Amino acid sequence: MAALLAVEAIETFYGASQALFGVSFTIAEGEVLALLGRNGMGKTTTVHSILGLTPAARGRIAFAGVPVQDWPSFRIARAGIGLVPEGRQVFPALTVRENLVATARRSAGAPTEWTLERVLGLFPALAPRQAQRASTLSGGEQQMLAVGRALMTNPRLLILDEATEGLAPLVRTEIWKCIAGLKAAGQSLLVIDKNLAELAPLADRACVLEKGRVAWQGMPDALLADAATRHRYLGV
Amino acid sequence: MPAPLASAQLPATPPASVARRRVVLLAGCLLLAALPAIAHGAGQPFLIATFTRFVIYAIAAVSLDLILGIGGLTSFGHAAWFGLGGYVVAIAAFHAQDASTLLGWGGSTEALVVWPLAIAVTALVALPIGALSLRTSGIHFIMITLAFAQMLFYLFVSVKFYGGDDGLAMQRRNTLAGADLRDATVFYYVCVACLVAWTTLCAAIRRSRFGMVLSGCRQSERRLLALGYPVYRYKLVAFVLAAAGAALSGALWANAARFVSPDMLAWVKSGELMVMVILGGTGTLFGPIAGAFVLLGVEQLLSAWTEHWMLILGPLLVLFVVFARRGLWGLVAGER
Repeated sequence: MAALLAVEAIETFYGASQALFGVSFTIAEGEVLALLGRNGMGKTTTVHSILGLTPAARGRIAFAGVPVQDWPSFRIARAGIGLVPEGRQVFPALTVRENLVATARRSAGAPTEWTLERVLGLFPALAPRQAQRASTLSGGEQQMLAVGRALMTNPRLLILDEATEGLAPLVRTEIWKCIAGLKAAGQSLLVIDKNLAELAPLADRACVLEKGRVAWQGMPDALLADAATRHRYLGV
Repeated sequence: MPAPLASAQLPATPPASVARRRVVLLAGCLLLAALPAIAHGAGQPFLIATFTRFVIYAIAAVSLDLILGIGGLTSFGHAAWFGLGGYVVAIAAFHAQDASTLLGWGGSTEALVVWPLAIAVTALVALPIGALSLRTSGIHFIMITLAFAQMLFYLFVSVKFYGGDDGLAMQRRNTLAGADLRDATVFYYVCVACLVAWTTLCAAIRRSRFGMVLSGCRQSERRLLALGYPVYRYKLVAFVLAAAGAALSGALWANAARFVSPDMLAWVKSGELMVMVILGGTGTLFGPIAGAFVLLGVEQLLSAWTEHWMLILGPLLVLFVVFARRGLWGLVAGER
């Protein structure tokens, strides 16, 4: 079966400095890929290149078999890629409800149909706060809102960039539960997170970035078991 | 388990701030309706013409708020659309009066023809200008909108056929479906109807998904792009809509003054519109109406007292911006 997302030898630059040196990986339909690596190794740049926010100068990115590397960002997202960006980034001046419905849409080929009711069912904490401005939410609630907002676009592939970073342990647990639920529902996921212990049981495969290159790819269990590799690339 | 549908809807009872806002809006509408009677009662019917001008400026201020307050687009050339709308009406009247033609058209003085025409022509001019200007952002956007407005300003200064520097006078006001608009009170209510209709439309736009996305543009364009929204197109539609609103205001102004001049397009006028929006409360839509009334009203009062009224109004504005950052609407209606 053709991969849902195929990233082939992409090279990305910030001005004159090169951030990615031929990164390649694939994600199959319904698969969960963990993208790992220390700070500054190119994880977020990879995500931004996939979405065309920081376009790759060379290489090929195909989504559902269609090359998308030259498309504008909004068109790539519309093709069915949802992003939960690093640092939450909700729309602070819009209400919770507006954050969810403003950018909602249906998308062909998504595993499940997400509606306002379903998102509020997934995150009951948001239900009583619908008329509140997003800026008045706690960090954890904002993160739930960011996940909910991405789900409301009914993506075929959902990308979570450091979705549990800086959250209280209880909230983290809730987010991890949500990710596990999405996986069980057949949602294809690209998850970036530093917490290998939590991520490994959920991921089907892992891909480790080191200085803008793919340094290691394989089963998450193998990475957990390989202390030397873990220490070398992740510092844990 | 999915939450029941009821919990997904907004609370049925409006919070106190919503109720307060409704009261303020209702009071505002009543005041607008009562102004001619108040002017007559005070034995100063000439004030109706003054209030008419306030109402006309309020339309332009609301339209600027649509892009400035909601979309975060600081256009410093909004007066260009105000002036262009006015010139379309005055030029149509000019040709109708002296029986000459423009591109084979003999002109018209019927409001139902020339007001929509003013809006359409302005929107058509605003489209390419917006398309170019919106390629930039921040200070560059401010400067490029200013530059385009100045280009239009000098265009009308140089067209001597339509009066150039001296402007162009209209012999009489437009007719509305054949009815005369000469009566000050009738014309006042026509302008108020336009203000109410335009503000209602803008409020509906703000509540719509288009409005939410536009508000998202102000907060973060990248986020919207990543969510699949072509922000450029949304901003362009908003820019053209705002220009259309200013054109309506300009068309009314041409009728109110029975005169148009390049001053209508000058950058000072754009600045005045911005002050009205900021004074009233950016992004509130209703605030700029109050902003227009207060700015022009204070200007009127102070200028009767001293010719150096700017010296007093300036510090007043500074105090207001520093201590009432949510504008008049924030003070009165408690919103934002």
